[in-house]
Amino acid sequence: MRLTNISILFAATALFATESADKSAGRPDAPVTLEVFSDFQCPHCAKLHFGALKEALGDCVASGRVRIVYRDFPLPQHQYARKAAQFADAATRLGWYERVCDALFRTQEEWERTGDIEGSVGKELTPAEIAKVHKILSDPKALAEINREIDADMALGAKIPLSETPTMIVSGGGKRYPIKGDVRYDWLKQLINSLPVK
Amino acid sequence: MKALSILGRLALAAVFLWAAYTKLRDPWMIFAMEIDAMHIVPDRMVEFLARTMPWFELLLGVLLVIGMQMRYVASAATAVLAVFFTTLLVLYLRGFQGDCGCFGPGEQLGPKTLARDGALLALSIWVTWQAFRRSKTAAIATI
Repeated sequence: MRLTNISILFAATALFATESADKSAGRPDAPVTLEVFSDFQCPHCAKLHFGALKEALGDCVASGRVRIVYRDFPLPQHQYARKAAQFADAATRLGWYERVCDALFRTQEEWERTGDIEGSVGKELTPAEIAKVHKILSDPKALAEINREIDADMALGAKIPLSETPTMIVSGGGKRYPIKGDVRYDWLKQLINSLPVK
Repeated sequence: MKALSILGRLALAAVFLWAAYTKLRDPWMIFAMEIDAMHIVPDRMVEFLARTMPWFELLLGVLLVIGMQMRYVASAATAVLAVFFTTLLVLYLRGFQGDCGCFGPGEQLGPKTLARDGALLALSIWVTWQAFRRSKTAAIATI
């Protein structure tokens, strides 16, 4: 009994570790992968994040069918998009990616106007948490690494080629579909379920 | 002129058949999400259009290959292309940057799309005109 509890705890920790370490959610061996290229300053990305993606997290990600991989694609016309991506990626190192994503998208209109990301997101995180993220961003080595990660995501997007955000790449069973915009979850789910599971 | 008209008809047929194939090879949800992103039809119409439009394109393509009742078939093709072109033009002027949904996913709406669809519409109008002209000539010959 105790061994079972330890196993469950270990499994839960492993899932959490996966979510925090590489900006993904779900089982790494899930048959379907949903790669989401988004820009924190893009309103449609916020809609997708709180719409279809949240529903997917509670449904097909929880059931183990889908793994979501988040990719940064800050568009050049969005002045603070890269700064927001840096903030989220720094939070990833603390295991708070999903939480900070929520906060960034929720306060999007505010920091888009002021440029004060920490100030806006600070309303949803504690001062101690903000200080921890700030510490990472103040370290030139860590910041350079974060920028490299963002550039790598963007290079991946440019290869597709990706022209707008949000864009999702749904892949599974040897099939691969690019999907643009803040799509409806019922169709996304039907598409996911239509993919053959190997 | 007759040979040119046949060539035009077969070119249109090829375009409709290719458009149908690129949509039917993927699950219908892909096309539904493309239509939905355009915000031009009510929600309840999106699924119906996504499921039926590729089959209608296939039917038009086959009928254009057969070449019978060309006045009706070519008129239908022109009407469909006119609707497509007008919709895409309006979307482009509105600043829409998503996929055009013409030949499966991945083609972003832009000037090239409009130029191609405009050329197809012009070709379809010409093929229709030829079909009406021929049937009129045939009617006069019968008299």
